[in-house]
Amino acid sequence: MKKGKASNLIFFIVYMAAIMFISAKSQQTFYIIGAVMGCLLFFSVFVRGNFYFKPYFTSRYNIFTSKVKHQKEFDLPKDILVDKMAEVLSEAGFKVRHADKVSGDLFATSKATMSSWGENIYIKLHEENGTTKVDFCSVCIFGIISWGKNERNYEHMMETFENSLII
Amino acid sequence: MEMAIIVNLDVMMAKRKMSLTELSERVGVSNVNLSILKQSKGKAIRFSTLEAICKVLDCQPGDILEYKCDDR
Repeated sequence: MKKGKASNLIFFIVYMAAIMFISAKSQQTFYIIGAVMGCLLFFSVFVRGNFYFKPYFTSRYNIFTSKVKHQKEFDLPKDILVDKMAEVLSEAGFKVRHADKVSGDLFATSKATMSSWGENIYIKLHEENGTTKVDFCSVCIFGIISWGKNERNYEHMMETFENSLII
Repeated sequence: MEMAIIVNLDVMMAKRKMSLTELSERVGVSNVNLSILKQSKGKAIRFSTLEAICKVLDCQPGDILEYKCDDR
């Protein structure tokens, strides 16, 4: 079992044990906790991993999710850069959920860790004056403060991209 | 900054009548990386990659790499 999956499994087991211990004391508590967990599960499965909800996560009026945006220019055609970015996101440890060459949209997610619920990465590519401009946005799915995680995601991605240019 | 090293991979591929997909499969480098290399946009090329390309295309490194001095 991979290290990341084992730590996630241990975290989940400890969390479930705590929930069951707390909820055993009262039926009402059990229902409340069940409802909260159901909402979180629904959010994780149907909302977080769906590219359709990009406007919600990246909106500047959404103050409940911390986000970081960067723009960079590359001297590569857009269609090649879309494939390259998808490759780089996978190599950097993100899960690519959506990649569209026509619109130039990419969407990836990061894993939940002990310090973070995970982040959504949105990348938009558009050609301008012979070069391709890349708009990068890393947004925490929960949390007003990201503790630098969003910035680290961007730096890690760029570092992986630079390293991947050694063919 | 324009790179002074030009990669003439497309010329050799045309001479050997090989497509990018076929070259990618035989060399073991992805299509997108070979496209980047072809356009001379890569930062560097590993000797192992250069060796594999020369082996598949039956050529010398000088057939693929060219230095263009830009005196201004």
